[in-house]
Amino acid sequence: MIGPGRRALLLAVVTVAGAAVLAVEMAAPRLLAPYFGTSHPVWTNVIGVVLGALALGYALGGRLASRSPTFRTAGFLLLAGATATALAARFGTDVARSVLPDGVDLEGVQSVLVRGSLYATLVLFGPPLVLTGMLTPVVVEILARDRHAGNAAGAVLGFSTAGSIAGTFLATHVLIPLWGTRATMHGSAAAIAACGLALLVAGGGAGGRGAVAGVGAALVAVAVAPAGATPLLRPTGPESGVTVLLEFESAYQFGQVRQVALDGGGSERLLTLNEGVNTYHSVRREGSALTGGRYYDLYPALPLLAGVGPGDPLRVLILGSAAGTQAMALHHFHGGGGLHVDAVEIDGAVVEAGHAHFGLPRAAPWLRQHVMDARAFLRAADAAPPWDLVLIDCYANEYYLPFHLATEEFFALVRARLRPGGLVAYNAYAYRADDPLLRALAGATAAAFGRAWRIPVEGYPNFVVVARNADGWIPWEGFAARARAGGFPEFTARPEGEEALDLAVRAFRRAFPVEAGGAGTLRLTDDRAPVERLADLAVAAEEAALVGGSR
Amino acid sequence: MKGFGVRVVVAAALAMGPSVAARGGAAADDAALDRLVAAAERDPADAAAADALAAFARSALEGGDPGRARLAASRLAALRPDDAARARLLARICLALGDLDGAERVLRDALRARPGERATLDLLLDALEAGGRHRDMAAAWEEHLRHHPGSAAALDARARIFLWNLHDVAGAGTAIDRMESVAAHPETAAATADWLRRRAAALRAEVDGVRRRRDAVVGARGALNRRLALALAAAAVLFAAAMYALRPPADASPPPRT
Repeated sequence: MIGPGRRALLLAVVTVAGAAVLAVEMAAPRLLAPYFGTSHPVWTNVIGVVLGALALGYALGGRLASRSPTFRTAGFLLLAGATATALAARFGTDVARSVLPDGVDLEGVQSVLVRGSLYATLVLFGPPLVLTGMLTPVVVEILARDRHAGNAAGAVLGFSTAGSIAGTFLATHVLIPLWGTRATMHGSAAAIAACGLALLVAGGGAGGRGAVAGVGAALVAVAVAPAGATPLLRPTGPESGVTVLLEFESAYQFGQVRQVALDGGGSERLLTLNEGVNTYHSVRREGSALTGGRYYDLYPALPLLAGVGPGDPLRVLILGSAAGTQAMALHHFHGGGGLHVDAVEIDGAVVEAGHAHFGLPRAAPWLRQHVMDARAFLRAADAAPPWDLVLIDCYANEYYLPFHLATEEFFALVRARLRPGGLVAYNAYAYRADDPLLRALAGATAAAFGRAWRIPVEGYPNFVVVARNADGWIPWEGFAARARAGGFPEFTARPEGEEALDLAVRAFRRAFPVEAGGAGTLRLTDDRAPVERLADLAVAAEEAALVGGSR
Repeated sequence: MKGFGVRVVVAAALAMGPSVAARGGAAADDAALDRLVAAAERDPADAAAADALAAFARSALEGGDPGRARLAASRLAALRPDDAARARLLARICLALGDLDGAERVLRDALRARPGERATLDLLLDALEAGGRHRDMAAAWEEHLRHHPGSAAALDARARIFLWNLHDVAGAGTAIDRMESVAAHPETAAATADWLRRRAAALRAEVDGVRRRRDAVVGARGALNRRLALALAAAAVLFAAAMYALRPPADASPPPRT
C-alpha cells in the first residue's frame, strides 16, 4: 500500500519528468541547428528518434515492472536519465561537429546533414529518452498495487501528458528565449535529477547508497555543464579566415554574424542562419554599398526601370529585410528626400543584429521597420499607399522559401499592393535555368502578374525574378540603351553608381520571360506548394552531380 | 509606355512629326510597320529601307513591344537571309519573347552561314543557357574552336562549363590540358599564351578544390554511414540485452488485483 502523499509524489514526478522530456525534445533540434539546420528532414529525424527511444523505454520499463520495482528503482532511472541528458547538452556540439566535413558547400553536404542529424540525435538523445521513458510503466506498476491498473495508467498518462504540454510551452516561450538551448537542457536534467532524488529519499535511501548515488549523479550533471562564459555553439577555426562577431538564438532560429576576410583584401560581414553552410541572409562589404556582384546588387537599378530616379518619391517594401542589406543599398542610391522604405522581418533578433553589425539605423526618417510575418503584413496593409517596388527575400533555414510566400495567392496579394507600373523582385536560389522550383516560382509570379522574367546572377546559384503591375513587356532593351547613352546621370553620380548600373544592364540583358502554366511547371497554390521538396531535390541533384562526377 | 519608342522611330523613318505618330497609337504603329515592310520588300536592295525596318524592330524591342519587333525583324530576316546582324536582331527578339527554339534556329542558321562568328555564338550561348542546356553550350564552344582553334576565351569558357555547370572534373581536366597545349604552341602570341597558362593554373586549382570537396563528402558519407550503422547495432544489442536481463523471474506472477 502506498499512502496519498507518496502517490501525489509519484504523480508530481511523472508530471515534471514529462515536462522535462518535452523541453529536451524542443531543445534538441535547436542544439543541432547550427550544424544540421532545422529542415523538415532534420525535424523528422528528431521526432522519429524521440518517439523510438520512448517506445524502447516503455518496453524496457514494462519488463522492469515485472520485477517489483520500488521508489528507489524509479529514482535511479531518473538519475541515470538526468546524467544522460546533461551529457547530451554538454557534448552535443562536439558530436555534431565530428560528423561534418570542413570546407564543403551546401550542394556537397546535404545528404550528410540529413544522415548526420539522425546519427547525432540517436547518440545524444536516445539514451536519456529511453531511460526516462522507462519511468512510466514502473510508476504505473507501483501505483497499481492498491488500485486498478487502468486507473493507475490513466493517472500516470494524464499527469505526464499535462507535464509534456507545460514543457512544450515553457521551453518555447520562456526557457529557450531566456536561458538558451544548452541551459534549458541542463535545467531539464536538473529537474529530472531532483525528481530522482526525491524518489530516493521517499524510498528510504536518504542515509544510504541511494543518497550517495543521487548526489553523485547530480554532481555529474553539474560538472558536465559548461563552466564560465558560454562557448560558441558553432565556433570557427582560426585558419578559416572567419571571425564570429555575434551568435544568437531567437524564437525562430540560430544565427551568427561572421566577419570574412576577402581574397583581394578587406572583409565583409555575413549573417548566417542555422547551419549556414555557404548561404547568408545579409551582407555588408567593408566600404561599399554593393556586395561583389551578388543578387542584392541588381535591386538598386530597379527603380530606374520603373521610371523613378534618385531623389524622386520612391516607396519600397522589403519583405524579409533581415539585417538590412537591401534597405541600406536603396538608401545609398536613392536616398535624399524621396525614399520611404517599409522593411518587414519576422525575427526581431535578426533586426537587432542589423543594428549592431550591418549599419542598419535604429531610427531614420526614410525607414520604418516592422517585425512580423511578411504575408500577415501584406494582408494588414490594405490601407497603406501602394508601393513602387516590392523586394522579397524571405528564406527560412538554409534555402527554403516559406511556402505561403511562394504561391499564386501570395503574389496576387503583392500585386494588389503595388502601384500601377510598380515592380516586384525576389531572389530564387537555383543552380540552373530549368530548375523545377525556379520554374514553379516564376510560374506562380506570372500567374498573378500576367508575365514574369527570370534573370540569372552571374557566378552565383541565384536568379532574380521580376514582374510588373502592368500589361505588356518590361522594356529591358530600352533601359540598357538609355543606360549606355548616359541616361541616368543622377544615379551614376553616386559612389559605385556606374558599377551598379553596369551590373544591372549586363544582367537585365539576359532577362527571360516566363508565362503562367508552362508545360511541366508545377503550380504553387496555398493548397499545395511543395517548395521544400523541390528545393531538396535541386540540391540533391547538384550533390549527386558533384559526387558522381558529372551531370 | 507601350509603343512609345516605336512611334518616335516611325516618325523619323516616315519623316513626319512624332506627334502625328503618337496620336495614332497602336494603329499608327501597325500602319507604319506595313509601310516600312512594303518599302523594304519593294526593293530588297534598298539599304535605307532595310535599315528603317531594322530601326523599327530595335526601337519596338527597346520600347517593350517585342511582338511588333518580332514581326518587323522576321520580315527583315526573310528579305536578307545572309545578313548576320539582322539574324541576331531577330534572335534577340525571340529571346525577349521567350522563344528559345526560334532563337536557336535563327542563330544556328546564321552560324552555318558564317561559322565561328563570335557575336552570334554569344547569343546562341545565352539561348542555350536559358534552357539549362550546358552540354550543348560546351558543344557550341567546341564547334567555335573548330574554326578558331586558338581562341583563348573559348578554351577558357569551355573548361569552366565542364567544371562548374557539368561538374565533369575529367572533362574539365581535358579542357585545361588543351589550354596548356595551345599556350605551348609556337604560333600562339606570347600575351595569349601567358593568359592561357594563368587561367589554366587557376582552373586546375579549382579542379583540385572540387576533387577535395568531393573526397571530403564521400569520406564523410562513408564514415557517417559506418557510425550510424554502429550506433543502430549497438542500440539493438543493448535493447536486447536489457530485455533479457529484465525478463520476469521464473516464479513471478502478476500481483493480485485489488
